Amino acid sequence: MRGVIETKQLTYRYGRKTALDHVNITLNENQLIGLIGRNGSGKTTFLKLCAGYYYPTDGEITVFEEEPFHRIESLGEIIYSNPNVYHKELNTLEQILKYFKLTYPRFDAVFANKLLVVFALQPTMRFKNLSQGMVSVFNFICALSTRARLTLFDEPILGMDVTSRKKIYEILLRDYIECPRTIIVSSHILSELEDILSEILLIDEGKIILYKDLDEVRTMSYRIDGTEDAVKAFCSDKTVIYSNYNTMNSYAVIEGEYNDTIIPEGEKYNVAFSKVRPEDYCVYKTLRGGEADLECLWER
Amino acid sequence: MKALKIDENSLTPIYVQIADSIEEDILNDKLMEGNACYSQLMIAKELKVNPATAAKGINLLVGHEILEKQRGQAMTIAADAKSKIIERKKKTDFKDKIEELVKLAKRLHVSEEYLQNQISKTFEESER
Repeated sequence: MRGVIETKQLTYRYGRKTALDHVNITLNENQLIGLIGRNGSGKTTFLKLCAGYYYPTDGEITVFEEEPFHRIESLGEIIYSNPNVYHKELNTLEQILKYFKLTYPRFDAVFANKLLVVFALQPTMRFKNLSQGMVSVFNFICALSTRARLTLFDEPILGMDVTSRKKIYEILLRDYIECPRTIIVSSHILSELEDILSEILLIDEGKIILYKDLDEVRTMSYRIDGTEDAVKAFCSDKTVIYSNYNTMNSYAVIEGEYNDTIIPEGEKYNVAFSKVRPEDYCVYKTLRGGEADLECLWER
Repeated sequence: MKALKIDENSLTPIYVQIADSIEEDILNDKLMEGNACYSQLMIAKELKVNPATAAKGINLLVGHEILEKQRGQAMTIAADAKSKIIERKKKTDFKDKIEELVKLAKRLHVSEEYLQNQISKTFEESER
């Protein structure tokens, strides 16, 4: 597989704050990638560097083998979209679509107008009169219709109701099937997105801590429930990424593949297996020390 | 395709669930031996999963020689797919269920004879 985005020691600082810290990564072409991370982890900075909005403080980034910051011709091939993209307030949706048509060579105006109908938006509506949810939908429509070879969605579902979100995911997957291209979606709600993604990019404190095929992530960990003694005995020779011991029920999340050899072991210690969803796996991987212990809030 | 509902909470990976449901459709003649199987894109579209996940499900069956790759067209169901599936399921699913049943019988202090009688009885009832 060819690399679309390549970074070498990519670093970006806002004053003293380091948003991205010596990132080395090569992202595969034509994947539908979920960019996951906590607030302030560096997701938006990473996307903006890919789109050429920022120039790296240190290190380098190439997109389609060019530096996105310097290559004006490739702008039509890269779209960065977030729900707060600013459009001149006077513009109607129709006028904004025209702007996209002029800027992006692959922009499909017919498709964009069909999408407007699906979401009950009229071309004559004024952008400034849209609610946050509608702004998000409209910006999604614009960016998807560009069919840009690299499409970057930054929190596209901000403020959307659940019906719209479901439609958005379905449309995104289907359009990716029809017109394969590299799409990166950043989101805080991985559980809603995970079925349609092919890969996941997990970023934490400015570093990439995971870039993997999602089907692999799905089998990288599992959870066991049982009594404290049983859980501890079962875990003695395993990598535990999270554990919680209570009187009524104890459990642990184990890094490793759930497979046929583990089942008899589970029976021996009388523990029950269950799945760890990718979203929870990411939560466990990005927990800070002591953060899981909320009991201390009410200690006197 | 059978009304397959992907179970998100199952420990069985999604692509294995996809392979299982295709096998199920072969067993109940919804898919006939020698005919084309569902394509990768059709599975992705209908089940709303990433095409890469759908491809893994198909490849699993190619590995088991249930599906055969034909040049330039969709996968076809192997001529002896059904008997292969049955043979494998006897060794896996079927064996697992029996083991489970025997374990349950032991936990409930049920005799082997009682268990066998119950199985015969259930067999008779289902054939009525």
